[in-house]
Amino acid sequence: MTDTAIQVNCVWKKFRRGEFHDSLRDLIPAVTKRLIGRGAKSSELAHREFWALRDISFEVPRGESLGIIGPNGAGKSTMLKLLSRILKPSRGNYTINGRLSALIEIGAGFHQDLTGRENIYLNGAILGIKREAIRKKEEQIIEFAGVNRFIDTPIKRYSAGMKARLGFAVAAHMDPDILLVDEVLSVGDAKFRHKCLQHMEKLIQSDVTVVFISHLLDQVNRLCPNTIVLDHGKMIYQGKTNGAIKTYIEALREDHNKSISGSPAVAEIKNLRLCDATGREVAELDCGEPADIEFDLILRDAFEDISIQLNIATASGLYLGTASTAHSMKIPPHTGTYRLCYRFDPMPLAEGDYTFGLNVTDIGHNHPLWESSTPRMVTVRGNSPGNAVLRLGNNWTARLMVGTPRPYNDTKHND
Amino acid sequence: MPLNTIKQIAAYRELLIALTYRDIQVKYKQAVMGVAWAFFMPVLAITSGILFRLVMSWHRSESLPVAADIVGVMVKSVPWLAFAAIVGAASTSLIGNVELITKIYFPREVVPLSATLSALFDFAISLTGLVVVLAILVLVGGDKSPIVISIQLLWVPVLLAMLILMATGLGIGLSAANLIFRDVKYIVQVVLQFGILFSLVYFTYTEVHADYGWLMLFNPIAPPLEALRMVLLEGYIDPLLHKFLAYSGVVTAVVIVFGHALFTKAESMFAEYA
Repeated sequence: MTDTAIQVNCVWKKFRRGEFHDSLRDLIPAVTKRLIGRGAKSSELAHREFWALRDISFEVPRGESLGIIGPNGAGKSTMLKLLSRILKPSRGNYTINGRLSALIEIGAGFHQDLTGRENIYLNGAILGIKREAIRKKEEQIIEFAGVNRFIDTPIKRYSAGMKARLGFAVAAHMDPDILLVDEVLSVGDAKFRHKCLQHMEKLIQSDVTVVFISHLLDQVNRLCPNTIVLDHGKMIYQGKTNGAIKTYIEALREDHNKSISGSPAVAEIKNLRLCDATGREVAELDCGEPADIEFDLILRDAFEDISIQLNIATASGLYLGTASTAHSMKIPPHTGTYRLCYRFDPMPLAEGDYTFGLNVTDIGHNHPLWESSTPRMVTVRGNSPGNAVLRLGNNWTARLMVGTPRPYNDTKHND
Repeated sequence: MPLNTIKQIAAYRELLIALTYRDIQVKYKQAVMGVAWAFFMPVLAITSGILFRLVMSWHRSESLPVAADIVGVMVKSVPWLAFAAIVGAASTSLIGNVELITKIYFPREVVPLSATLSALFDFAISLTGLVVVLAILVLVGGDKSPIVISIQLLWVPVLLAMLILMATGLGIGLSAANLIFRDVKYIVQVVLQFGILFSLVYFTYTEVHADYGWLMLFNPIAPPLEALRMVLLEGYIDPLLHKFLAYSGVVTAVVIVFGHALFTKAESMFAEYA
C-alpha cells in the first residue's frame, strides 16, 4: 500500500454546450460535415466546447480528508465524477489506490416499487457491497435511517426525507478505503444531519480517505484540514481550509462586483461601503465596535412607497435577520440618488464571515425592484475565535435571593 | 469480449444478480397475471400462427393443418419471442437506468446483461411449458406423435444458445446506440413487431417457394429456428440448412464482437450523453 490515496495529474475535462445529436437524422449531416472539414484534435476546443476543468493536480494522502469548494459551475461535481470513473478526463490522468465508493447522489438506483428492505440490498449491490455484508448490517442500517416501521413498505410511499435517510444509511455502512461525497450531508432534519456529520467524522478517524464537496463551509471546516477551491474549472487555491474559505469568499465578491455593473434598472444600489465609527472606509468590521453600512440608492423612477432591506446570513447560508426601512424611514417619492446608512452600534456579529444582501421593494405594488445578485461577503474581526454567530455582551448581575443554602448531604439523596 | 471485460463483470456479479432480480421482482409484483404473463405472449403468437396456417390452407383448398404443423409453429414461436424479448429489453436498458449510469461507476455491460437475464427468466418459464406440452404429445400420441426422438435432439441446446447469444450481442450494441440516438428504440420496436413474419416462424422455407424459399434463410435468425423444427419433427437437418447454420454462427460471433465494440466505444460518452 502506498501512502497516497488519490493522485491527480494535470487533468482537463471538456464539455459541449447545447444539444448533442440526439437522433440518427441529425447525425448524418453532422458526420458529412466532419468528413469534409478537418476533425478537431481531442486537446483542442471545437465549436461550442468549453473546459469544465483545466489542469487540475492534487494529491490526497491516505487517511486524510480533502474538501473541494467553489461557486456553482466551478467543476466540483465534474471532478468527483472523474475520480469515480463515471466520466473520463479529456487530458491528464489520475491514480487511485484503494477501494473507492462515491456518494454522488443519495439513493441512486432506488426502485420505487420495491420495499425499503429490498432497496437496501439493491442499493448495496449497486454500491458494490456483498449480499452477505449487507445482511450483517441490515438492522444497523434500518436503525440508522430510523424507518423501522416502514421497512417492508414500497418506497414510493416514503417521504422524501425517509428516502434520503435510507439512502445515506446504506451508503454510510459500506467500508470503502476512499469515499467521495458530493453535497449529500444536507439531507433530512437537523438531527439527522448531525448524525451524518458524526458518522463522517468517525469514518475519517478510522483511516478512510474522504473527498468532500459542500457549499456548507462549516461542514468543510469541520471535516477537512485541507481544501482546494475551484472557480470556472481552474484550481485557484490549494492548502489549509481557512485560507480556502477566504479565497472562495473573495472569488464570490469579484463575481458580485461584476454583476452589479449590469444594465440600468429603475432602482439600483451601488457603492456599498463598510465604515468604522469615524466614517473611514474599512475592509473588515470589528466585533463589538460601532460600524456603518453605506450605499447609494439610485431611483430612476418615482415611487410612492419603497423600502430597502439589508439581509444578513452566515457564510454557510444560515439566515440571521433583516433590517428594513419599511417602518422606520420613508424614502421621498422622487427620482435621484440617495445615500443610505445603516448603523450597527455595536456590531453584534461575532468573528467570522457573513453575507450582506440588499434589495429594494416597491411596497405599494408589493413588487421587487432590485436585488443584489450575489450578496456581499463581509468579514468581522474579533478576538474570540469560535463557532459563535453572536457577540453577547458580558452584562451579568448577581443578587442574593436566599440566605445560606442547605448543606449538600442534607438532601434526600443518600450516599 | 476481451478477457478483462469478462473478469470485471464477474467481479460485479452481485450487481448483475441484484439488477436481474429487481427487474423480475418489479415485473411480477402488483401484476394481475403473475407467472401467467410468461405464457400469455407465446400462446398469443402460437394462436396467430395456427390461424395464419388455417387461412392459408383454406385459401389453397388444401388439407387442414395437422399436428406436425402446429408443433412446428410452437417450437419456433417460443424461441423467437425470447429473442425479441432479449433484444427489446436489452436495447432500452441503458436508457431505463440513466440514473445509475450518471451517478455510479460499474462495468456498464452489467445493465444490458441483467436485462437479458431477466428476459431469459421469462423464457425459462415458457420453455418449461413448451417441454411439458411436447412431452404430453409424445406420451399420449405414441406412434402417431409427430415428434421424432433421436440423437439429433442434442442440437436443441446448441440452437437455443445460438439464438440467445445473437440476441445478447444485438441488445448490447443497440443499448449503446439507443443512448446516443433516441430514435433507435422505435426502429427496433417496429422491426421486432413484424420480424416474426420474416423469420420463418409460421412456415418453412420450402413452403415459401420451392426453388427460391431458401433466400429467407439469409435472415440469420431463421436457420436456427428452422433447424429446431426439423430436428424435432423430422429427426435430421438438411444439408442446405447445415450451411446456413454455419452462416448464422458466423453472424452471431460478428454481432457479439461488433456489438460490444460499439458499446465500448460509446461507453466513455454514456455519462455525458445520458
